[in-house]
Amino acid sequence: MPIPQVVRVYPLDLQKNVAIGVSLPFNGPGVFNSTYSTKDQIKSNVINLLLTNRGERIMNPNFGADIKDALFEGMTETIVPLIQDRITTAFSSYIPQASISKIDVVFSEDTNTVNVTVNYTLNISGESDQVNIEFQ
Amino acid sequence: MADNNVSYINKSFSDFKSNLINYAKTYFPNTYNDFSDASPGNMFIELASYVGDVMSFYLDTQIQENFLLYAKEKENLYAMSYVMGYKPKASYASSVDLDVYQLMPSLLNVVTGETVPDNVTYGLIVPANTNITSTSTGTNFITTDLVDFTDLTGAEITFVNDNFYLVKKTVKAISAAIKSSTFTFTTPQKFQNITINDTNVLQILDVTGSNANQWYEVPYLAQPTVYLKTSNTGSDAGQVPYLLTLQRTPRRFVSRLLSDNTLQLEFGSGVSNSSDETILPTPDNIQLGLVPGISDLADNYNKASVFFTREYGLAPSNGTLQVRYLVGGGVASNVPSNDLTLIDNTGTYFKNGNPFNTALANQILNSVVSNNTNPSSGGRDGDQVEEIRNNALYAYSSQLRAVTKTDYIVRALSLPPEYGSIAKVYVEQTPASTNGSEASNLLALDLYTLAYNSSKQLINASSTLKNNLITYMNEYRMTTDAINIKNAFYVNIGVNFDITTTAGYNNNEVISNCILALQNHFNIDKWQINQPIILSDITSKLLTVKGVQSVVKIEIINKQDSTGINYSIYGYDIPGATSNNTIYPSLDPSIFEVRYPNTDIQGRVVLS
Repeated sequence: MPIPQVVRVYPLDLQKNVAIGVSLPFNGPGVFNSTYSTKDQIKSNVINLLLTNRGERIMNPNFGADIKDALFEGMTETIVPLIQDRITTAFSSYIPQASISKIDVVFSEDTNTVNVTVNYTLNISGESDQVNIEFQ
Repeated sequence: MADNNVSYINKSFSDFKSNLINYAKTYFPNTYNDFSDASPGNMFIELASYVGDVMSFYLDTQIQENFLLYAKEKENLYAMSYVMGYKPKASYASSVDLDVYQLMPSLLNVVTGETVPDNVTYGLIVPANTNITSTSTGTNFITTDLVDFTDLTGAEITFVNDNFYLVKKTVKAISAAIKSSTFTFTTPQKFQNITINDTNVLQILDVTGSNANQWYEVPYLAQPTVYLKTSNTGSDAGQVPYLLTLQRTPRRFVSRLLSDNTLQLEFGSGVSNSSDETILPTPDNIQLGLVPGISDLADNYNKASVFFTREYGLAPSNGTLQVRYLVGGGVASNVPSNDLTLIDNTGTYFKNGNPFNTALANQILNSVVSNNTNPSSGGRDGDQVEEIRNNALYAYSSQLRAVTKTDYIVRALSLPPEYGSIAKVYVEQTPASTNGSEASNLLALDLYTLAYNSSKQLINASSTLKNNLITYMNEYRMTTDAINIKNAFYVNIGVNFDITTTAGYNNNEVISNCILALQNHFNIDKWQINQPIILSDITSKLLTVKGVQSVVKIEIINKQDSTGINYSIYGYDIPGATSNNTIYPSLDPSIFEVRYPNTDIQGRVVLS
């Protein structure tokens, strides 16, 4: 007898007319675009976390990955583990619904940019996703 | 008190955030569900909560600043304290008893062959407001009253040599300097303000207009009367240097301390040249500029019309006002003893004209020196926030009105000393007439008073002093109250005591200490009208003196002088008034006084 396969989902994802939150960027017709899946919402949350420096958020000074601040440490090899470490710490505190699988940090001395790619897996559904942001 | 913050709506950032999340969950369950910290939507909830938190803080602060008990801003406290009747002080002056010395040529008395100081010819006047400079800090002091060396009452006279005596008199001096500012006025403006650009202003001395008119400071612009002080030229000028009178004046102003420690003067609004009596209040002027109608009978008067009268004082115009004021004080103005020796003699003059002997006159003029044997005290910085708060609350409750017996006593004792010194006061309701006729005023009070002479002995208050007291009290008494100012009786007593001493103590020393203890006990400052003498208290005092083994006898005797020169003319039956070891005063208000503490207290050591 075949063993039934257990599929774990977020309950709100089953209700297609229920919005989870709002997505980034704010460029919808009514300013906000609603998200209707947890995966999309978590992606927006990760973008929000990566783009926020610590101390920027009102009444929540620890929120943020502090990546922009790390750019001023100088474009050397040392910046890679520094950014990875900061993302890991922030992720564990503020994105409990997902786990990081890989962080790629590529910096360019010529253009003074850092390209950050975070690969993560949703804890309940097991879905994978990726966020890529270039910091300058 | 101010540490207690007002929290009117009791909402903080977390309260607002929690309420907004609940609101969103309740009313928008299909629109928004992610309330985690990282959610962009949550960012807006927190933003709104923050705005609410800030607005809540300002709302609470605004409300807090409206309560005297909680306000923290000095400006608000000042405003509220003025409403309550308390005027905050910018600074407190240090004060000291200043000894002023003058060399005085001696004059030979041809009858007795002895010399006396020639105070009539060479007596100097050191005027009030004479400057004295501290040698250590440079702080300026001024005398508060003139020193008249022609009057040797209370002066300390020392023989120097055959030609000169040294005369010392004492005067009060305060740490202050006199400054002045001039302000120009053009067209009259209602309630015009001027600000003196000086900090630590202690007091406005006077305000004089360009046409020599005096302007007077009043507590409120609506108060038309001011106290005036004029020199007393009567025979009792020594006891009462000044007469107190009331004057109604339209030229008045109020002063207010600002939060930057400067002083603002506000004048009235009147621009009329006519006297108020001809303007207020007739139907012609009270309805000025109005067309009466049946619809507004209840409101048919021109509210502005009274402001054009002098009801709130005149508005200065077309001229200048010179404001003279005192500045100084502060903690740093307290100077040590023997420090105020640099006296400015430029204003000093001979009271009875310059003597013929110019060289001697100059020598005498240059002989004036000063010194303070005690350090000055009382100087401190202006009122702090908590002081203003407490003083304002007290001022509101006292209301500057005499209602209770204590109010009358305190107010009578508050008469400034330059108008005479009231030493003792006792108040009781005037008893109903006992001869069968109706009492003239059921609300009448009998105010029994006594004054001090220059030796701090009790005497009856002079009529001038009583007149000053009447003028002063009239401003505070209830309209329906009548005050009868009467003399209290003073009964002079002596104390004789016998003690036994403990072995090993010097009898003379023990007796001397016992007399000192009783002098302290009978110090007139500690006695009140109608206070009984409790003999057991005297025994206790004596037993606390080292070397006293037992008190054998205490006898209080009456000291009477039918001429009233040395003692009171009133005799008192001490044995008859003694009951249960207590000597009771008479039914008529009276006070016991040991008039000559050095001779009226006598003790003996008896063998045990």
